[in-house]
Amino acid sequence: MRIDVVIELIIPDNTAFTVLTALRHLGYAELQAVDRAEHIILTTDENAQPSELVAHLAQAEVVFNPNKHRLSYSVENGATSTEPAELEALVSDKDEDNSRLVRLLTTTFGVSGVRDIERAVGWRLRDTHGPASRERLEWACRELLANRISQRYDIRPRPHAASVRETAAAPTKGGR
Amino acid sequence: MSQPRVAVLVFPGTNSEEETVDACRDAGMDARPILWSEPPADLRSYQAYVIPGGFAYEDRVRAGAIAAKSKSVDVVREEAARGKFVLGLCNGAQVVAEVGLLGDIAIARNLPSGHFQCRIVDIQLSSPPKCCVFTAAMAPGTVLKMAMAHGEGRFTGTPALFDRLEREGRIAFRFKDRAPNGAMHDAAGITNDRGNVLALMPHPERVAWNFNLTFARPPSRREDPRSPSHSHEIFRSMAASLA
Repeated sequence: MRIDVVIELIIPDNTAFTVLTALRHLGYAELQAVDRAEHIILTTDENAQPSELVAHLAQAEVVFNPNKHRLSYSVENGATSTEPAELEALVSDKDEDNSRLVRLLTTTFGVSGVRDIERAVGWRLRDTHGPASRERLEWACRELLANRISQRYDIRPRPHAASVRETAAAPTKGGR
Repeated sequence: MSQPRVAVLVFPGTNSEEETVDACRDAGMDARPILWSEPPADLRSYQAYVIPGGFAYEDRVRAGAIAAKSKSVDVVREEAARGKFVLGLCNGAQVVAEVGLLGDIAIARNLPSGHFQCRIVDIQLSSPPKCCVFTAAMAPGTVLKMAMAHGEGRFTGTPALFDRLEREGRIAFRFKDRAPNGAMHDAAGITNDRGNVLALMPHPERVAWNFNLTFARPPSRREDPRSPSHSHEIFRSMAASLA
């Protein structure tokens, strides 16, 4: 099973603002907003419970800081929205090795059931016409968001995600 | 005879411009820091450019990615195509790679560590000195101590490209021991095909004087602490090539 954990800042995102400015300078004058999120894509044991696992991941506070992040997740082949989905560009390194992170989470923090982790940065752009088109996202990836030699990108509909706070096992700051 | 004029580019987040300017001046060059906000066209009057280390634009998106899109770097790229010298040090090397001055080479996140690594390393000249203007005055096989301090310093590209770099003598510097950052062919510094551009990940300017190396190179304690160290040879070679 694959679980896409999405971590977004709840404080101002300086990187997204820099990208907004840079893409405008590069010719995308009608660009109005840039949203960025880190994606932690977990490959898990088949019998893993997504809500419990994600709650445990959040509680570990290795990739997630409740003081500055919002966390949501979606399960591959899980529920999808019936509304037309907004497109997002996922940018990831071609050579990545997250084995140390897997070991840290599974051994030190006891987040069991995680076999592998892929990481990516998700970008969503909105201009005066609404969510950016596939062509615009591809242009932004080629121009700035992805290095064609060391990274890859994938343009895809944004999956419907559940907030970790919707789950019964969600950690609360007061319990720490 | 007038000294060669060298522009040391400064972006928001650059943090090594002062020692870079000093190292260039000690080698006999007229080096000046040039801010990102100054008119880019003014850069054309300089004979050489150094893009120093630091975290330009806070390494947002990728190290060097935003600075590589600046008007100043556009000018540097055009002047490099005319044969002027460009030295990129650490973050400057990342900018040089991002802007495409090295060809199809990227500088990516350190592997397998995956994190920032900071240490004094031995770097060996691994191509014929004359292949690059920044090594032309060095003895073959020279070993220099430099300060490695980066989280994204892994030179990468296709295996075929790196085989070609080896044949063409473009891997100017190599980590003497295995590259801690996982760089292909243990590359620490790569030149362009004309040898007028060098992207060097470790910092020579941070250990350019003997007092910088009193712990890492004990023999330097017997020398004048204010004198340039052997790592200064890169700047001396640059000055000699500009003369």
